[in-house]
Amino acid sequence: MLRPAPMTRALLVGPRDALEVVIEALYSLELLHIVDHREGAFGLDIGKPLRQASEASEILVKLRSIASVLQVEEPKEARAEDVSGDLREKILSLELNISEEDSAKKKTQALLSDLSRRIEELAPFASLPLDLGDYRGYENLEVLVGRTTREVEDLGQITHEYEAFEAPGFLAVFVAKARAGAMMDALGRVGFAPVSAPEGDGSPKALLSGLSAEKDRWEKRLADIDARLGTLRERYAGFLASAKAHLEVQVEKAEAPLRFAVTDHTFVIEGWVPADTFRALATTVAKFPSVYLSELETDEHAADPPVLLRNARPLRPFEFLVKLFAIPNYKEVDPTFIVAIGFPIFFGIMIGDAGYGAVWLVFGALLLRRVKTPGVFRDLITAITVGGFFAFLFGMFFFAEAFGVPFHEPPEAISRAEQVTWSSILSFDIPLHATIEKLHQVPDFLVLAIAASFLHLGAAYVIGFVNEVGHSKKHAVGKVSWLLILTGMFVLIIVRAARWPGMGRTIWNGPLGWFPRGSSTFGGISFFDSLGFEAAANPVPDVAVFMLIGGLVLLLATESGLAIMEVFGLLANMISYARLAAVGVAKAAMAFAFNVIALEVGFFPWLDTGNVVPLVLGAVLLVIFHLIIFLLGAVSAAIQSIRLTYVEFFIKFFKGSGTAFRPFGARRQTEV
Amino acid sequence: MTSHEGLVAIAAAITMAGTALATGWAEKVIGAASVGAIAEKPELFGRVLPLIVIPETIVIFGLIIAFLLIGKMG
Repeated sequence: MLRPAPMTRALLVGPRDALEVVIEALYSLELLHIVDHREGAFGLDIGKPLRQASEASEILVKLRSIASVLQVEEPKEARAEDVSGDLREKILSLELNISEEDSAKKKTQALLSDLSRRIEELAPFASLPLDLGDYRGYENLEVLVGRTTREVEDLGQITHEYEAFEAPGFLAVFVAKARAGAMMDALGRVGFAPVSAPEGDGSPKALLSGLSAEKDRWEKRLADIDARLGTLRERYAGFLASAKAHLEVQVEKAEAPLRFAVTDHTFVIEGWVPADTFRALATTVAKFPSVYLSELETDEHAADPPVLLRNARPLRPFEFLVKLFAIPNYKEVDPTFIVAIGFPIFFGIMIGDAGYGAVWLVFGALLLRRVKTPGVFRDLITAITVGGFFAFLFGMFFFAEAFGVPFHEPPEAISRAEQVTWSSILSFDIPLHATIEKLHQVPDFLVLAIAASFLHLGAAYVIGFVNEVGHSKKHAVGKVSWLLILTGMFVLIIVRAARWPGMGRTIWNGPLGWFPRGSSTFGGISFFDSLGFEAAANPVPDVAVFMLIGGLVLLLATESGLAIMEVFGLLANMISYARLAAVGVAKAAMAFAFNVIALEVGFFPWLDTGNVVPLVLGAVLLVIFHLIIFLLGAVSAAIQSIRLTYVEFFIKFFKGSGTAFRPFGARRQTEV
Repeated sequence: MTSHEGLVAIAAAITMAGTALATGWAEKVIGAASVGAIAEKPELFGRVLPLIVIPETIVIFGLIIAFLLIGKMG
C-alpha cells in the first residue's frame, strides 16, 4: 500500500508463426506493460505490422470521416452492437450512401450562399422605383449608386444637371458626365460608398422575389438532406461507435509487432508484469508450447519499471490528487495515504462548521449516486464528501457552530444578533462547547494551524527518510536533521504560546507532555531560558535548542551550506499553514455578517412587530447568503488544502517522474 | 481607543493591504503565464497550480503580522 506495486520484468520468446495468437492472448490478459524495442538494439530489428493492419486502418479512416460527416459524437458508454460480419462491406456501402448526401449538401450550401449574396446585392435596388436596365447605357449621363450613412442635402449646389432617387440608406444619382467628378467628391465627403448595379434587366422587386423563392426552395432541400443525414446518424451512431472501438482494437493488435524485437524466425517481447500476477501470465503462455517465458533479472538502479499505485479501496479516490501532481517513481513511497488523511482534515478545519459540513456530506453523497462513471470527477466528489464529513465533525465537536451560528453565546456578546445561538433557538442546552471560538480566539486557531504544520511536515520528512535510506545514507541523515530542526522550531513556538492559557498551553501540557522540560536537562544554559522574551515562567527547554543546533550542524554536514538558507523557508512553510486559520476565520466572519444582516432585516422586525414581510425577505436573504458561503468556502478550502499538499508537503520529499503502468490491452482511459 | 492604538490599527491595515496587493500582483503574472502553458500542454495543470498559489503565503504573513500588531493594542 505504501509502495507502488512491485513489478517483474518478463521476457517472451517464440517463433514468428505464433506471434498472432500470442498478441491475442496478451491483449485479452491485460497484464503486460510492453517495453518498446528500439530498432537496432542488441542487433534486432523491430517487427512489421500484421497484414490486417493496413486494411483495418484504412477502414478506420473512412469510418472517422463518416462519423465527422454525420457529426456522431463519442458516446459516453459504447453500446455493444453487432460488429461481426464483413465490417469493410458495411462501411464502404455506408460511405457510398453518405458521400452522395454529403456532396449534395455541400453543393446546396454553395448555391445558397451564392443566392444570399445576390439577394443582398439586389435588396437596396428594390427600394428604388427603377428597373435594372435604367442604370446603364447612357452616353452623357454618369450613374452614381451607393450606400449612404446619413441624409444627403443640397446636391443642387454642385450642379442642376442631375436627378436623384433616394431610399433610406441608399442613393442613386444621375448626373451629367462633365459634373460627375465634382458630384462624386461631394458625395464622398458625406460617406457615400458606391456599389455597382447588378447585371440584368427588369424590375429589381420582381427579381428579388424570384430569388427569395428560389432560396426558400433550396433551403427546404438542405433541410431534407439534413433530415436524411439525421436519420442515418440515429440509425448508425451506435454501430459506428462500436465499429470504431472494434477497429481501434484491431489496429492496436496488428501494430503491436512494431514494439517487439524480431529476427527472421522469432520474436522477442519484453515488458513488466505486476509481480503477483506473473503466475497468471505464465499460465496463459504455457498454452503455447513453442513460446518461452522467463523472468528477467534487472539491474535495480538502471531499471525503471512502470508504476501501478495500489491503495486500499477507501484511499483510492485520493490517488488522483497525487497523479495530478506527478506519478511517483517506482522506488519511492506512494504518498496517497497521507494525502487521504491530510486533505479532508484540512478541508474540515477550514470549513469547520457542522451545518456546511453536513450539507456537503449529503450533497456529495447524492452526487456520488448519480455520477457512476469512475474518473477524476467522481474522485473529486468523493474527496470533498469525505472533507464534508470532517467539516461536520470539527464543526460539531471542536468549533461548536453551524451555519455561522454558535451553539453557545460567545464571550463579550453585545449586540442582539450575537446573542442568537443554537441553544437559544432550540431552547435546549447543547452539551457541546467550542474548544476554539473562531471569531474570538484567532491566536488559538493559529497555534492549532502550526501544530498541523508540524504533523504534516514531520510526516513529509519521515517519508523522505524512508525514500532515501535505501540508496543514500547521507541524504537520509539530511532528512533527520530537517526533522530535528522542525521539532525544535515547533517546540519553541509552542513554548512561547504556552505562556498564556489557551491552545498553546493545551498542546504543551497535553500532546507534548512527554517533551523534556526545563532549561537544565544538559547542565543548564541559562542564556536560552527566556530567549529574548520577557518572563521566564515557562523556560525554553534546552533540549529543543539543542535539537535545533544539532539539526543545523547535521544539515551542514550532509547538505550544502546553502541549505541553511532553507531553514527560513521551513519556517515560512510552517507559517503558511496559518491559512487554515485564515480561511476558517474569514468564512466564519462572512457567515456571521450575513446572519446579522438577515436577522436585523428579517427576523428581529418580525419578532418585534409580527409583520411577515420582513421575515420572508430575511429568509430569502439567508438562503442566498449561505449558498454563497457554502460554494465559496468549499472552493477556497479545497484549493488551499491542495496547495498545502503540493507545495509545503510534496516538495519535502516527492520526486515523481514515474511512468504509469499501462498494460497491453487496457483501452486507454482519459487520464488527467 | 487612544491615538497610539489607532496608529497600531492603521499599521495592521496597511500590512494587510500591502501584502494582499503583493499577492495579487504576483499571482497575476504567474497566472497569466500558467494559463498560457496549460493551453499548450493541459497535463501541466498539476505542476502549475502550486506555482500559481505560492505567492498566497505573502498575504498569510501579512495576516500573522497584523495579528501580532493588534495583540500590541492590548
